[in-house]
Amino acid sequence: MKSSISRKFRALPLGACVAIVAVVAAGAATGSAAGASAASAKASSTPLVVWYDAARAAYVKVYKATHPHANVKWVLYSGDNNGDGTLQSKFSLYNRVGWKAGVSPDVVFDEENYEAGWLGLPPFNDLLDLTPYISKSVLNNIEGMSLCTINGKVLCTRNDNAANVLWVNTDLFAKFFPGQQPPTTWDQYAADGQSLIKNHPGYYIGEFGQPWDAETYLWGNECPINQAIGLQKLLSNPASPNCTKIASLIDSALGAFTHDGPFTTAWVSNKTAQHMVMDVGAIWQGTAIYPSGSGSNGPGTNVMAAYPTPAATNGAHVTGAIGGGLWMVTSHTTQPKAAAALVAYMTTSPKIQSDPTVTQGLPAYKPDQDKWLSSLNGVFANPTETIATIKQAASQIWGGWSAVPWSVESIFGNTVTPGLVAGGTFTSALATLGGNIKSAAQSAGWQVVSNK
Amino acid sequence: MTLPSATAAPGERARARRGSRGERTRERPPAGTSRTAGYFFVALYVGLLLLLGIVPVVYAIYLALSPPAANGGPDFISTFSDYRFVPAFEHVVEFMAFWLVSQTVLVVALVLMLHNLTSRVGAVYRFLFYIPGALAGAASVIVWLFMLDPSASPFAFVLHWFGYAQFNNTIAPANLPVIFAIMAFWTGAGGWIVVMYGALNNIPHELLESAQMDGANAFHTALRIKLPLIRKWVVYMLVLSFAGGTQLFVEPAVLGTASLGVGISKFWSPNQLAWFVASQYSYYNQAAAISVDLLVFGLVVAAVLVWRGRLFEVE
Repeated sequence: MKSSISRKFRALPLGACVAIVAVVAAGAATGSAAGASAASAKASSTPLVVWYDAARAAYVKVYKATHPHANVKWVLYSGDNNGDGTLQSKFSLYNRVGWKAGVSPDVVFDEENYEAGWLGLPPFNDLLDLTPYISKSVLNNIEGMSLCTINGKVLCTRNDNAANVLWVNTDLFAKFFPGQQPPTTWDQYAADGQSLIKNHPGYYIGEFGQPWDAETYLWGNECPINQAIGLQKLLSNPASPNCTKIASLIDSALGAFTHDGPFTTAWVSNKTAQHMVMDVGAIWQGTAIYPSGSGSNGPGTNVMAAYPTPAATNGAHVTGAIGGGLWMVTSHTTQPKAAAALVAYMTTSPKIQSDPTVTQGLPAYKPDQDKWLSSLNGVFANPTETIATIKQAASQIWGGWSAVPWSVESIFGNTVTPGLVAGGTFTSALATLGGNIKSAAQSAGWQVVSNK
Repeated sequence: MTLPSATAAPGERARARRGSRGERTRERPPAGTSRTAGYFFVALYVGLLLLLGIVPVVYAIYLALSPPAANGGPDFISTFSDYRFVPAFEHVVEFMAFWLVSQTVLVVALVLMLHNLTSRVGAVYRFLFYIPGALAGAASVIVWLFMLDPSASPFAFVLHWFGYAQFNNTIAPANLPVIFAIMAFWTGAGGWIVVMYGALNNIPHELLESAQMDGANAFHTALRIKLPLIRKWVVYMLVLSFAGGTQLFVEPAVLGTASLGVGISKFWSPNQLAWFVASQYSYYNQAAAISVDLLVFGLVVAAVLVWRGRLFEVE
């Protein structure tokens, strides 16, 4: 009886300790078993252990076909999806029980774009600097590397470029704003929003309130709220005009933003995608959300087109980025050369990155982009301009938004969204957001300053 | 096994030696076999208790009180000033207030009413109450996620009465303790109703009959006779529920994942916070410190309940 009643709490009896002890024990047990079987199968050399996520299964297939003699142990895992913390907890345990060649991972694919700053900095320090292993000419051709380059070390390569663009529903825009061009400044963008609230309620200029919206509006406006300026040193100044101006502009048109995110049931059931006149979103959102066959009840093909995001309120032409995956090599690997070679292959091979049936997002590696982009023909309203916009945006990601050992997404979702739901504004949430980023940074052992 | 004969009374042993084999087995076996089995089962329990209970507790206390390594997070004292510490305990205390009160009042009321029904009807209701409890924790949270989402719930109209148009309205931070209390009630109450019903069935029939003859109606019998007799079971329920409730983990964790990271943090409850700092920052000392705090909290409250409720007194 007792057990059935307390069943739902059984996951962690007596805090985390029991779980940790159990997991360590289990990890050690499975580890030694796997090691033994691998050793008997191939006594000569230790396999390279690669952790990949489900979306990268097609990459693995290509790699196996092109490297038939490679000694690689492929391990499918969650990809640290939505920052679920798998990598942190596994690395934590390996740091406690010891990393073991052929058992613990040599190469890891990570779906969370900020985590090189989590796993590569104290208390983890578990990522290998790739500079000696991947040539400069290759590294220089990968875009969006600001989230991988930490204190002068290259701790990961970007798999795909997830820069933000302004997605516009050309049909709706022509209908509601005849003769007008999509906005090029945030002022104009907010004015369009106010006009929608007045004349076409129920239509939106964007979504606001999802965890990644700090990366949409704050990152895209050079807001220095999450900017690493040294080893474990953060510049965070929510009072900067780059933060406050964008917040008050969004507040001025708050009714023209949907609070439902594209992955909620409400988004699908309310056909929200068909009510988005505009949407500042990542490159991948164009194909993932808007075509009718995407499962999000989108408006269909040949309707959406990409435009540059509005220029920052300080005049800079920059943009933020939402998502995008990382390839990382652990610093405990016994085969750094082989591991880095695999990472370089995955990141740059045209067989993977130029083939839209293998990879879903815009390749971060520039030479592979054109061929991949040609697959967008027939998807968007004006493919030539959309492709040009995407290429331009890919090179304009602002470098002042840093990879850090806390999740701004999760802080934003927990502090700004509840306020918005309760009728609050972005401006009022900005201080809370800043305060919580500061607390999270300090508890991770960082020093926080509000001025350089 | 020499233990049983060693503990047997000398006279008895002498008698056994004198008597025939048949007599001996007739005289002594119940004591002997039950004791061996008893020690065996207790040994199993003690073994598991040591391995999964005592050793981790000792280790947690050791870890909590030892100074963390460089970059290993806060020590025992500065854990209290962590910005997530007080909110997490506030959340769980609020949750417990809603849950323990509603569970105690409703379980006792329901079981007293059930006990007055004829046994066949009572059995049907007992089964009905138990059904939600048959869903394991995580599964029941998933069910509740649908119930609480206005765009998916069959009871969306109820949510609309409260003015909740979106899932994010329902799971506003202020609502969370109540939501978790409701979830915990539905999964836990059924089991306790079955336990309490069993306790009520142990009340001698003569006692209830004599009460009836003395003119007590059903209401009086329930309140004056039955309730005092199952008081210890109510205290027992409180002690166990308190221990389980302070360790709240699954509900906020699953809800946090299902809400796509909106509205509920990964360190909503103290147990979550302990897991978070341990697994995400390798701050094992801090995690152990929080676990020890939870343990002390649970032990103190249990001690008060046991003492005030005179749980172990023999009448």
